[in-house]
Amino acid sequence: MSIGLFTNSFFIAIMDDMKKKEDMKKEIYFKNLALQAQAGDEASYRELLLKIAEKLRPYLLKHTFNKDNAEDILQEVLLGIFKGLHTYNPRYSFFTWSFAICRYKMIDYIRKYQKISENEIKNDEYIETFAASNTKILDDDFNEDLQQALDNLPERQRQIVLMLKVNDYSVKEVAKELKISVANVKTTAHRAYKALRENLEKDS
Amino acid sequence: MKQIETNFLIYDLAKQGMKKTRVSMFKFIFTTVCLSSIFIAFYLLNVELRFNLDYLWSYTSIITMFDMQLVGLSITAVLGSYLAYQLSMPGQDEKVSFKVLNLVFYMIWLSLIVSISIFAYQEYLVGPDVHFSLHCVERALIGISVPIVLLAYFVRKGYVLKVYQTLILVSLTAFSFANFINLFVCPELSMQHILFSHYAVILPIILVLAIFVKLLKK
Repeated sequence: MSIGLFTNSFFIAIMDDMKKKEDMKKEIYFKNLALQAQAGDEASYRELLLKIAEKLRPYLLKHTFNKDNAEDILQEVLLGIFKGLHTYNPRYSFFTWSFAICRYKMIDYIRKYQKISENEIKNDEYIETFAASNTKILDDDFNEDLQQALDNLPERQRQIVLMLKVNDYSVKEVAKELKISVANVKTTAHRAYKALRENLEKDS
Repeated sequence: MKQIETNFLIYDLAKQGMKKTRVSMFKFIFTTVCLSSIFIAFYLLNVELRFNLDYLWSYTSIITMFDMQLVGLSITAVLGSYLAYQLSMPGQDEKVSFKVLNLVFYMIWLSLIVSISIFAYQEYLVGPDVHFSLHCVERALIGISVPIVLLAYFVRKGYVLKVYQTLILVSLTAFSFANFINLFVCPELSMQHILFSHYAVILPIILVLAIFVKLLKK
């Protein structure tokens, strides 16, 4: 009996040790990628973002219970990592650093859009407005609130939303037309949708 | 579909990634403290210092409110700069050392305000003597200008997640620098005056900055 217990605890200790070594390896791997990304290496940057997205996705899914929301937050987190990578200090864990951004963005997102998600279910017409590709936004009977919300957007945001949703441009086409990067179009569109949601929520 | 969008975003961000270095802690604190101190020293050299300064300095056997303010403001100015640097890096505020120092920072401020308030209340019981002075407010605003710009500049070089926490910390730190001016220029000994003209002015400053940040975020 005691020999059995001993071997059991012995194996548990070995497993723990192996897990620790594995975590250490991963940590060093991420640290190196982060350092290379800080130095401006595109491949390392891409790999770092892809790997950290893989790591964060299950965590976000677990806390949001919604694939779309999890992806939205993940995109925000990736943008956060992109904006703040230069502040990462290799003396500390990269996971701690990125999870701090992730946690903050998740709380921020939940706080901001808790009510909006309820609102979106109630107001089907808004969903239709965004979902239908052939929607004519400037129709006479179009909801005034949405028109007003669109008018309240900054010029560039409104332009991108209209190009994407009314003129059916692809993201690449918008980027080409406006002579900006695809990422810029995506982030501007993302912000515009957020602002629209916020405005619509206020109006409702 | 969204996952594909995320992958596109990753590829685009990686393309845009460029070398960008962070400001070192030494540079952050040293530049902020030195430039703010130089600015305040320069200001003090160009104005008339309080006539009763010698009288306050001569109190060596007991701790006066003047000494308390001097020590408290010096500590919060340096400590606040350090904490602002830490807050400009994600994850640093979760460290125990940060939490302890943050607590120390706010405790010093709180103890300063509470002790001044107690003395002011005692004075008030004897007779109200607020003597609110716009000159003191003006001096505080002049004093806060350089440190707050420096701190905001360096903090923005980092990546701030907790915007409002950083705003309060940066405002109080800059105000610590600014209050040195009133400490050496304003001759008033009334604690009611010190409380309302030297310290209460920070509240509208924080409020205005918070509204400004809120508008900026929109």
